Amino acid sequence: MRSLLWKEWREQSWKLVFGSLIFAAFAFIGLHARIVADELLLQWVCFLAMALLPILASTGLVPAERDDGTLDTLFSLPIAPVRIFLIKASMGVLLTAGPILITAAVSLLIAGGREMSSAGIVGFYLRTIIAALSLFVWMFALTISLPTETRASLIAMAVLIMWILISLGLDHPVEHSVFHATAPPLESPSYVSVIDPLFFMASPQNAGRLIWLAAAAVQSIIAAFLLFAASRLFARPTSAEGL
Amino acid sequence: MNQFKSLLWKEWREIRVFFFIALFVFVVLPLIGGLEDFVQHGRFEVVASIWTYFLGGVLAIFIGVGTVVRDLNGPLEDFWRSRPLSVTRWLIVKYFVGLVVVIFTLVVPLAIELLVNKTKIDVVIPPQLIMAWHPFVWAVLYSVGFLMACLLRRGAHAAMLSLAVMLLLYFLPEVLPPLHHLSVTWVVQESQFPRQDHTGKLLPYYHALPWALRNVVFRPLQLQFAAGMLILCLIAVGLSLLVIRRDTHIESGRRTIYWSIGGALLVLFASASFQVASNLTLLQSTSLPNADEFVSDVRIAQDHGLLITNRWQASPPDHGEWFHTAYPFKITPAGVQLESPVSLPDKSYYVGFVWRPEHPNVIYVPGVVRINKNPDDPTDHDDYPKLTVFVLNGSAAQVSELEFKEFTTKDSMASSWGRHSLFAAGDRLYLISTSHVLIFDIADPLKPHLLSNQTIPYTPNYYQWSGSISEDTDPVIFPLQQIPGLSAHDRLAAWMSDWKTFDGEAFYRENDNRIAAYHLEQLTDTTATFRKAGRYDVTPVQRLFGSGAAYATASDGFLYSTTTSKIGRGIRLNVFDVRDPQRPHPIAHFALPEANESIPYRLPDGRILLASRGNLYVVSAPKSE
Repeated sequence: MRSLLWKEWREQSWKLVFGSLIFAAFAFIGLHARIVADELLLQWVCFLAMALLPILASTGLVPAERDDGTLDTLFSLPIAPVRIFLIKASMGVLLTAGPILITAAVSLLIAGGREMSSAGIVGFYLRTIIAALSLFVWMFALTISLPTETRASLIAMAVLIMWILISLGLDHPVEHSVFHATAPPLESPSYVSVIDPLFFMASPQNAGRLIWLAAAAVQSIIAAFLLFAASRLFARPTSAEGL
Repeated sequence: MNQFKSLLWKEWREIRVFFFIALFVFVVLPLIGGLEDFVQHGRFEVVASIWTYFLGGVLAIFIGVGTVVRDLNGPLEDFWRSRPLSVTRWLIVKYFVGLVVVIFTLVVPLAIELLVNKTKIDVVIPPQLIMAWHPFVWAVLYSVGFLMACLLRRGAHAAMLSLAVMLLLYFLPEVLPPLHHLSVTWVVQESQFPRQDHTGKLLPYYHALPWALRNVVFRPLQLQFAAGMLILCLIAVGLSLLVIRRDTHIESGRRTIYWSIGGALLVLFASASFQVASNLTLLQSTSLPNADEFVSDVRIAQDHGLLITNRWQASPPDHGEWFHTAYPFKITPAGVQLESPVSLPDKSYYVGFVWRPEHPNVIYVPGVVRINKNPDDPTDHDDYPKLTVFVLNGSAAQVSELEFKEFTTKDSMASSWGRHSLFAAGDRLYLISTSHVLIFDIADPLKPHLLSNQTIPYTPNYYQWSGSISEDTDPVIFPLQQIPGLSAHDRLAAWMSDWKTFDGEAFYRENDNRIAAYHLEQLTDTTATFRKAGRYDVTPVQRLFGSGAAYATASDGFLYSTTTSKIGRGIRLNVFDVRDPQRPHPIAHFALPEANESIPYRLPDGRILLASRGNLYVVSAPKSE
């Protein structure tokens, strides 16, 4: 078990370093230079992190191993496939959430309490982590049986675009922010939003606590179902076509 | 056929597919566009420069990579190496055939555009300037693509890395001052706006550029750019030869690509932050009593000023009322200190009012009384002028209106009181329209006394002019109204009193893409002639982070403009140093956490007042002041 963990860490840790460095540097440069207002910069960082990190994390865990032909070797080891699956899923969670946490720390150090309160920044990043993890589960489940990383990347991008398009078509709550603006009247979000991973980018205060909690509950159930389905697909032998 | 010719033939056969594709994109498509223009508008004009300007670098990279990877990938390389052929010769021929294809396919469309077009189409920059300086950049990008392909031997990876290098080539010279003379933007601008003496003649160190198709001038300093680019090409070719002769290459994989793309994007973002980062400090933020109150105008003297706000209060279903308020304020080291508000009646637009620092509690507002003669025809009316005096004492202004029915005129373009301005000089107040001027004595500020009424020759007013000046108008000749008792300078100031980017001797026009500075060249009794002195082209990065100039104010050699962010919300304040009108350039920026449009004003000590809906901000003075 420990050797498996070590193997995944050796193979994937560069992605953790890459994601952390790129996004933390992006936040550092932007906030240090005050290139735009702090909140806008954090919106950019969080959106990019939410969109790119799940793709980076999900496609390199299983499809890359299938591509390299090492997954069958893993299955031949005396370890239950479900354990391998769990370790890979945990590593995916780390690769998705880790860079966001490090970026959050950098943002807090530079801009905490400046234009946004520190609590506001923390809340912003935590919601980004939830949205990114939700997307990760979708991508991980839908790409787990694909034979190549390239094909998995395309499917992961399609998942992202699909949710962005769905999100654009839904009524999302308007964010109250540090910007002084005459806010349009707050519209109640669509109930379909509860299945949308991007819905978590809105705070519970703006979205309404009840619908936010409902979204968390519904998406947890969806995530559990997707992970269960993925664990079943994971142990299937590699085929040329995948899903 | 000797060996050299055989090599040439081989390379040409392999690269000609790129050649034909490039010709189709850069020549045939613009020609089709020209035909379409001919059918629709009856004129045949080719616009190829926009494509070569934006896509030339990408084509150069693709050809540079494509010409190498085919031969250096797998068994084909072994085959070539087994031939009795010098690798150096083979590579040099390959390099130069590709380079010729790049330069030819990008220069020919520009030459066609220059030869065919009868009118000047300046979509990005003039094609002769692209033709004069951009081939050096294309050559470097081609060489970089060539080198990357030699190093990596994988087409997609080499192209990705080359595109990353392209970002560096374009942006690093913008960011790092020692590399400034390697900036293609700089070298083009130097040729586009050469320095002139006060008579408009070019300074003696300018010469005609020998390789340009039309008259393009350069000064010796610009040759640093050409030399720098050629040195980069030589380095790339030298390294390519070294790599191939030693048969070394880098194994590229996912990590290489991820890191190179991530690194390039970070360099891009870092360079953007150098260009548009905030280097001013927010000193004060003050809220107006009402969040929906917006500032319509501000007047500033040495240590005090006045601002007027408007507020629309809707009353359902479809009615509402305007509320106007005057706020006298003091300028303190901490910022601005608003004094008690004075409400103003909803009788005027409070635009173009006169406020004199020596009598800070009095404002004069020009106006027109309209008499409709035919209820069914709103255009059938007479007008006469009025002057309203507001005394700002207590919580509500005291109002006295002076109406001049004796000067009633039938409204027409030539006799309109509808477009008027108010101008004060000493103890005289001038209420000016296109064909009338009323002169008041305001020695007693509360009781303006009409001294004279003059009918003046019809002169198009500012409003009729401002829309007709395009970016390329040069020179701009303004007619001056013949107002008795005022000097030509005062009449120019009166005529341009609504133009906030007029600063005595210069005025500025700005849009998303550029800032053009016009300098007063000649002032006669009847006209003011302004010549375009210089221009600043907004870089793509600056355009991305703040575009759509909303408001601009010129004062004391600086131009202050606020723009709205193109991505997301936020207001950007840009300060340009225009003390040398031939070289307007940005010196300061500030990203304001404010979603509403903000009007910039310069305080006497250089600090900047930003007036927005519901809020006032005071920002520090730029360092170079």
